[in-house]
Amino acid sequence: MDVNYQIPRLALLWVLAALLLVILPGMLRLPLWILLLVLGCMGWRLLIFAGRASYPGKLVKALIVFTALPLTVLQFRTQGVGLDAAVCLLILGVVFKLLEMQYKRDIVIVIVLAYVLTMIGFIYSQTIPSGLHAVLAVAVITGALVSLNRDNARNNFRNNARLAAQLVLQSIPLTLALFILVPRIAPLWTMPLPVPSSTTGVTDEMTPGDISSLGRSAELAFRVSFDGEAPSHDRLYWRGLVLDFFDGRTWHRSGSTFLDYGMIRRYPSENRGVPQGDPVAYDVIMEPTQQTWVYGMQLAEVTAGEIVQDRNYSLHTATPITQRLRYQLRSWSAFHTDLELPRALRSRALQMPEEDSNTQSAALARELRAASADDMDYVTRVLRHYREQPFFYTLNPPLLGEASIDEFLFQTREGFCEHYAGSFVYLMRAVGIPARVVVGYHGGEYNRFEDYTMVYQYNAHAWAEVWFEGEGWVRFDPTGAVAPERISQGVEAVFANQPGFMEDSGFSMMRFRDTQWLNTLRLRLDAIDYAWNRWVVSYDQDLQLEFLEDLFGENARSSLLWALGMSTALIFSVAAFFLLRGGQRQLRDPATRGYLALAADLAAMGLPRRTGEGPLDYCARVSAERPELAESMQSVTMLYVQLCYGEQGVGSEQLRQEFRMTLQTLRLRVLSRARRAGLVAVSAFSRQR
Amino acid sequence: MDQRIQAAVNEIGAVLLGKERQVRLALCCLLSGGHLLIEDLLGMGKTTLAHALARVFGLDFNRIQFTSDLLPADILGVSIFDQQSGRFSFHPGPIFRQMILADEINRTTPKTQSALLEAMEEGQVTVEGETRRLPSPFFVIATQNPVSLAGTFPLPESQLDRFLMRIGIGYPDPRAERQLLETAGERDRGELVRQHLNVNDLVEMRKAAASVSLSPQLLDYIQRLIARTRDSDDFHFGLSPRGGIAVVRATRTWALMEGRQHAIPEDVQAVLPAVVEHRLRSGSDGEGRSGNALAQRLLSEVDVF
Repeated sequence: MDVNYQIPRLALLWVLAALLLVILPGMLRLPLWILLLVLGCMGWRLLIFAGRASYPGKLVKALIVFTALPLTVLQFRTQGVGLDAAVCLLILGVVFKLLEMQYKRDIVIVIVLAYVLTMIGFIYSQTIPSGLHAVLAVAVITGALVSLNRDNARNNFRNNARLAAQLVLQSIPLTLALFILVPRIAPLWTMPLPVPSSTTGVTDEMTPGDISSLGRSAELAFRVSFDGEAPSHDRLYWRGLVLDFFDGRTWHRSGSTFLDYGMIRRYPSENRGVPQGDPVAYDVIMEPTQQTWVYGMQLAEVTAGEIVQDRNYSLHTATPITQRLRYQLRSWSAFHTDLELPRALRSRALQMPEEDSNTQSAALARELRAASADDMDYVTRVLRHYREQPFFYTLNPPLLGEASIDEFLFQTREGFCEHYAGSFVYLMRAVGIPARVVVGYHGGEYNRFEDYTMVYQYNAHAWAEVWFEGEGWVRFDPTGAVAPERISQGVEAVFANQPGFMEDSGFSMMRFRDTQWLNTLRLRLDAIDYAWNRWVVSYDQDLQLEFLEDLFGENARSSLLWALGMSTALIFSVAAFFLLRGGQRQLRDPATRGYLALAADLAAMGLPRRTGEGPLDYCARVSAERPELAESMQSVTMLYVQLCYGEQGVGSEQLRQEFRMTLQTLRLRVLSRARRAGLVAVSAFSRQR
Repeated sequence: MDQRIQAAVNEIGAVLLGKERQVRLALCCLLSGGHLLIEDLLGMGKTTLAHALARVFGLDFNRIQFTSDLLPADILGVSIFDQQSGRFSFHPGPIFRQMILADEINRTTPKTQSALLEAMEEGQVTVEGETRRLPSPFFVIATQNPVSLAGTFPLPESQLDRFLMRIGIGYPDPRAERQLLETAGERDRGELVRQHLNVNDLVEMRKAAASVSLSPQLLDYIQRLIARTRDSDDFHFGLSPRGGIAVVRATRTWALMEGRQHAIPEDVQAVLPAVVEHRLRSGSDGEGRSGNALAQRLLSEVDVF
């Protein structure tokens, strides 16, 4: 090893830039002291290079490592052995390596680790910007590699940047082929991802005010693309959880083994709904919620994705949704569920709070029931009550006290969907009709650019399900009785001008939806993001197979490796073609063309002209190998040299003619019989013309 | 003219056995009006060749043996106070000759080496503020040992660039070797070389070379060669325009020596290694010193058409 080796300045700067680029985005997740340590190590490295500081001694190195290690453990102790701690250690390792980077092999290690860090970035974020960032990072790291290995006068920033960019661009076709074709294997182990404490979206309990607060958020909840025509807006009820336990103020899920993913997996519930008519199939990509349930339209059947359905027809995942989740369902709009209501479910659907202070409401329910012919008539009367009394649908309902149902129904009469759904179910249960609250989303915005529907947090909704003998569960939406346009046109149309709507979203583009071009831009951007998620991020084994079946038909699985090999070979041969062709080839004069054709003929005889071999040398070689051709070869060569290199003016028409004739004669002698016939025909043809 | 060149080649060939190609290159270099650098191991006949070249042209020549303590003034000359006239009078150094044989040029220090710089490029020297013209023609034939040998100062690139060609000699083939051994003892064969060319031939040759025609195809070829040295990572840096001009100069003379009024690719290929190798440096060799075999590679990678 060369003890005098000095890491080139340019390579060092490239490496530091690459490291900064790779580490910085992750910095937001990491504690501040690590950032300081990273910058400190980089600064030290620069000082070492400038000769202002020396490499750290053994003692200092040990001190740094054995301080940073416990600090890291301490920092992440609450999360156990998690990804964050591991990434943090890796980053520290890389920046410490900077301090003892003396030889070429050290800097190569750092460069390789920078590539690894780039890949790790994808564990945290898989959006388009992070993809672009990774491409940029790879380009810069490659630039560092180029600059390290290029040891000549061309080693400057511009040349290295250009070469690195070239390399990255050239690798794109192969990357695409590998991405599409390499068999997708399920991970052997799963990464314990840190779970953010805050959850988003609809929660598993409902207190008045909960859902209306979601109305302040314009964040995306999920995106749906339908196979075929999307159902009309008023049928887009994205059913989430069933809340059937009321404590007088808040609606809860009743705790039950029904809701445990593993139990449902092992003992799938019987007594499924009875579908009628044709289902509509759709594909959902859901934003992370940190919750374990997903949304679909009743009555749903899971066609793809690790999702189970519980006894209440809610859909669940095994683990909290920390990354975008994709699943496929099909739903029937006409169905019967629970024609036989089991006793346990019935008693839950009739549960009333133990200390019930909503006496007025109970009295109203009894009064209305007494006036009704049957249960169905009673429901109609209750809905009419909402419609005819001065109820208001608002995003900013007044706060309610202890007897929330009474206060809402008789005093404030201003509420959001949770108020209506909650009071409606209470009124049902008060007269012994099984009913329950359902929370989820309603509606969505259609994006024509990529043909899908976007559902936002402000689409959060609550409605009711009432059980009738012979009918099963029937959906009623009391909000529709108060604000029909909420159901037919969507929450945006109702609240567009109401204070508080999308308030938390700041200058979200959603707020400018009335400006035509901005709205178009917003929809386009979302369409791009959706396509990215649908085709890139969630490209898995199933999608791959589907895609390949489209390409190759039924036996796609077996052609996978074949396609992989072929496309790799194709890419390499294209690259080889450009490399071997040696760049530009300008148009040549007729004499050279003729001469090269002769060389090609001779090559077919086993006497190819070597690269860089001049005409005289070639002639001498051919003459030596084939004495019978020597004479005419020499005359052709002499004529050619005269034509091509001779004094100007000598290349007269007569000389050209002579060259053509001699060349023709020689080629005829050289050529195989079959090709000779072809050549004669061609020349006869050209003479005629 | 051709016959006289051939006679000169034969004359030198009788001294430097079995090295016709090197002799022709050396003649080509001098006929192109360029300075010649002969690099090889000790005892390969560098000095013999240089001597023979000087004699075959019948030029007024001087040999300077470069040593590590040689100073610029030893070459260029000094002004000495003349007590009789009471004035300083200039005593020209050995450089004021038509042909200088700079023996073992890399044994001396860079300071002395660079004293040759102005002389070689401008044909003049400046001593004590006064510029003096050198005789015309002015040739430097330098010999040097391979740089890796002990006690040598590698010539700086700026100095190397001023030599039109650098040639090696190489071991003689067995037949020449045998002949050499048989006639061993006849000391200083260089002294036997008779004059075959003269200054007028040189002038005439230069004039004739200028009229050798270079076709566009040939210039394309030369440009491709030059571009290759600049684009490819095989080379530490590309060939300078002066290098490119040197290639053309040598090519023209070579064509003429072959008895042609036009240059062909083979002419370029014949002179290229000698003309460019000392101007190039391998790309993988950061502080590299030579471009050995680089030119050969260049020729085999760049096509003629």
